[in-house]
This record gives sequence, C-alpha cells and structure tokens, in this order.
Amino acid sequence: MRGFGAFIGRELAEFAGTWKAWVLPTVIVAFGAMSPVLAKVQPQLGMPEATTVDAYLHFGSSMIQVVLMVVVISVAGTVSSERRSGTAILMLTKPLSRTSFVLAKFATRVSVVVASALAGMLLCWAGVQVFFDNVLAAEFATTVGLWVVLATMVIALMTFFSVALDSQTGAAGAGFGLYLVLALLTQWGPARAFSPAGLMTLGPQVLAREVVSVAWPVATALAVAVAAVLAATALFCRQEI
Amino acid sequence: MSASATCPAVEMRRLTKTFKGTNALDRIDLTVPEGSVFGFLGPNGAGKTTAIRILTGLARSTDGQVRVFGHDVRKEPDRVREIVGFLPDVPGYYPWMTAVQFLRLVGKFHRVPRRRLDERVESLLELSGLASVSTKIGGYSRGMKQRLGVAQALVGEPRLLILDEPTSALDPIGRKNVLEMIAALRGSTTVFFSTHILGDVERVCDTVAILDHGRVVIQGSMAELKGTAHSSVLVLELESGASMLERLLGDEPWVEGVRQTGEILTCRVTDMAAARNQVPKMIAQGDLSIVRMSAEEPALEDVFVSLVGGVR
Repeated sequence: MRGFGAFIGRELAEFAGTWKAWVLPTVIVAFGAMSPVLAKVQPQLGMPEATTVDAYLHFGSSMIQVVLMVVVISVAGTVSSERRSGTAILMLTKPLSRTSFVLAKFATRVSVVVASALAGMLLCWAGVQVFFDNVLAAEFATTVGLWVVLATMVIALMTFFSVALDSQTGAAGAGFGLYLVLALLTQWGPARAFSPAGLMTLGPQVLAREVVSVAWPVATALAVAVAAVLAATALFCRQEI
Repeated sequence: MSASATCPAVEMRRLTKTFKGTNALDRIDLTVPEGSVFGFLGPNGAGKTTAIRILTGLARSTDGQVRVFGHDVRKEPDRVREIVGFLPDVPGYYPWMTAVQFLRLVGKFHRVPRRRLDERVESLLELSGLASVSTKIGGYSRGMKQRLGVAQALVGEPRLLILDEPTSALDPIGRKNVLEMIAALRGSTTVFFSTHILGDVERVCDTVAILDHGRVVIQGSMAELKGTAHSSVLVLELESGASMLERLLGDEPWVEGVRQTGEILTCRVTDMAAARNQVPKMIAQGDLSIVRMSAEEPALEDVFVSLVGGVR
C-alpha cells in the first residue's frame, strides 16, 4: 500500500483543478434540489397532485436511470486514461505500488459518490420539508443507502473494466452492457430477491413501508464489488505499462 | 542477495524480452558503474526503451536478471523505485497541476520531510529554469516539460537517474539546457542516458554501450570505444588540384572514402601510417601545393556506423 495516502491526495486535488471531476457531484446535487420542486409543480404540468413519496421517487429514479449512467461514463477512464496519457508511467515509477494506485482511485470515487449522494439526499429532504408534510426520513435514507451500495458495485466493476480494457470507450460500453443486464434481471423474481439487480427496484417498496428484505441484494452487490476490486488490482499488478 | 555499496548501479545479466516470438532484447549483459554518466546508444527500434521499461519495473523480462545497486527489480520493486528517478521519452503530466504541485506530489511519494521538500522543490525549479513559471503544466512547451521531467526525477535524490531520449524533439536551446542539467549531476548521481543522438552522448557521457537489434554490440569508456574505430579521418586542404588528388586517393587500398568540399578533402583511412607516408608523395608527384594536412580523432559516429551500419 506504498503511496496510498499521497495518491489519494492527488485524486482529491483533481477536484480543485478540473471541471470534469465536478460533473457527477453536480448532477446528483441538482437532482436532489430539483426533485421536490418538480414534484410540487406537477399539477401545473397537467399531472395529478404529488406526494412526499413522489418527490423521493423522482430523485430515486433519476439516480437509477441517469446518475448511474454518469457514474459509468465518469469512471470508465479511471485507469486506462492514465495509461494512455502517460501519467501512469510517471506515477508508477515512483514509490507508489500498483495496488495503491487502483485502490486510491476506487476509494476516491466511492467517497465522492457517497458525499454527493448525502448532499443530494439532504437537499431533497429539505425540499420535501418545505413543500410537503410527511418527510419519511428513515425510508428515504434507506433508499439512498441502497443506491450507494449499487453505485459502489458499479464503480468497482467500472474500475475493473478500466484496467482490463485499454480504452475508455470500451470500458464505458462494458458498463452500459452491465446496466442493461441488471435492468433485464429486475424482470426476474429470483434475481430481484437474491442479486444486486434487486437494488434497482427496492426503493418504491421501502418508501411504501412494505416489508422487504434487502440483505441478499446488498450482500451480493458488496461481494461483487470486493471481487471486482481485487480482480482489478491483481490484473493491474500483472500488466505491462 | 542484499545490496552493497560496491554493487554496480545497474547490472543486466542475460536479459531477454520476447514479443510474439521475436527477441526485442537478446541476452543483454550490461554493467553501469556507480557515478558514471552512462550513454545507452542505439538506433530506433534497437531495444533501448524495452530495456528501460524492464529496468523501471514497467515491463517484465522473459528471462535474465536486472539489478539496481544490487536490488532485483522484480523481487524488490519498491526498494528500486525509492532509489531511482526516471524521465520517460514523452513524460505525461496532469495538465491541471503546476510544477510546484507536481514536484510536491513526487516528494510525498518519496516521503521527503516537509521542510526538506520545500528546499528541494525550490532548488530543482531553479535548476530547471522554471522558478518564475506559475502557469499550469498543460501550457508548457515541450522543452519546459522535459526540464520539469528531469526535476521531478531528482526530487527523491535518486542514486540512479534514468533518462529515456530526454533531448529528442527539443530545439537546440532546450537540448542545451537539458544536457547542462545532466552534466551538472556528474559525480553526485549515476545517470543512465538513453538516446540515438550521438552528439549528446559525446558531450556528457563517460561510459557508453551500443545496442543493436536487441544485443549489446559494445560497451566501454568513451576513449575505449573510439579506440575500436578501424578508420581515422585525414583532412587535406590544397591551394588547387583537389579533384586530381581525390582520384588518386580513391585508388588506394587504405582509403575507405573521400569527400571533397571545395579544395578540402576529407578522407576516411584505415591505415594512418600508410596515409602519412603516401599522401605527401602523391602531392609531390602531382605538383600540388598543400595548405594543411591533419589527422582527426575518430568520432563516436564513426564507431557507431562501423558497428551498427549505415542507413537502416
């Protein structure tokens, strides 16, 4: 793990130095702020009166349908872009282990997603407090937590694709394929109950205060995430740069 | 094996790298003495960059061993990276960083204490001529990037500095600056300097190896290499009649080639004693007037061409 802390510092410094790094947090925060407002103006758009749940569902569906895509695109070049630009050569000939290189990139992206999701959640929750009565705070926090688990798995798999495929476009393509597979699996009951695909459909049930088990989808998603990160690290350590 | 102070800076033994059945490196044996400025010469495609990628741990050898100050690059990669500074042929930087930020980052990897790092960054910016530059690296010229490349390679006070084609694609001033930086390191750091520019090697290196088709064809001090040249250069300047003398010289078995520039003839000769004996006789027989006759030391280029060949 040599150089992990220093490289994490570099990764975070990138937020101060580039606009690209701000795309994902901005999208999440924007959805968090807009969802209650959009729910409130729904009747003016010819739609039925919205409720608290509608405001949260608007945020949740945006996170599943849009933000996950942004995650796929923004993480697709995590490692391959450093290899292509030559920065990986300069970094990995310093006292920085390849394991630290991959883990720091994964950890930074997960941290950014967690912090952004938390900010988006708080904005959405605050908006709901202003426009609606029942705030359903615990249920909403659970749905955001489930999304974070799903996003962590997607980041881990995208990190692996970025190591395995020497192309940002190729990794993004693999990410879209992964998203489609997960979406298809949500149509099959056993997959919803026992695989990470369940994380894409559990939100409305949690907000409706239905009794649902999240253990299997969460456990399998975290297991896939750990396996993907370990595989990415092992593969990167064997690669020639 | 534990590293010792008496170990060579770099030791390659039977180093082999095969790509799809082709040997990019073919059982290379190479020793770089500590403290030397070592020129790693070879034409494009000779295998220099492949050897450097193995030396820096970016690639793995198919066979053989590489040690840096006694540390095996495969078994002790962390230890090797601590004592090596490296500048690739085209260094890739984070364009949003400034030189100071980049040098500080490298210093953190090397765990240089904060106060020491402040001093080190300042002195390296001075050395590289970037002290007054506050723009981001993305706006740097190629020459500025190369000078920053040398500076970043020196942040960790490496025992071995590896430079891969540091002057290629630089303009004359940028090249001069980088060569002066390298020359300033003599005596304090071992420099492994890969290039195909012979003039650069002659200017700064004291020891040289020539690589061709993945094999080391010769290694030694600059003087030893020049001593292997089987031809020398004889320069003759005449008042007139250079064309006639050129024809006469062309018939001699000890003349490899003659080039005429006005009334000046530059002859490549294989037997200087015979030349010194025969040329004055030719001049006398042709009733020619000579202005100057001088023998010149063979250049590294002569050695290189004789070992590696001419046009590739």
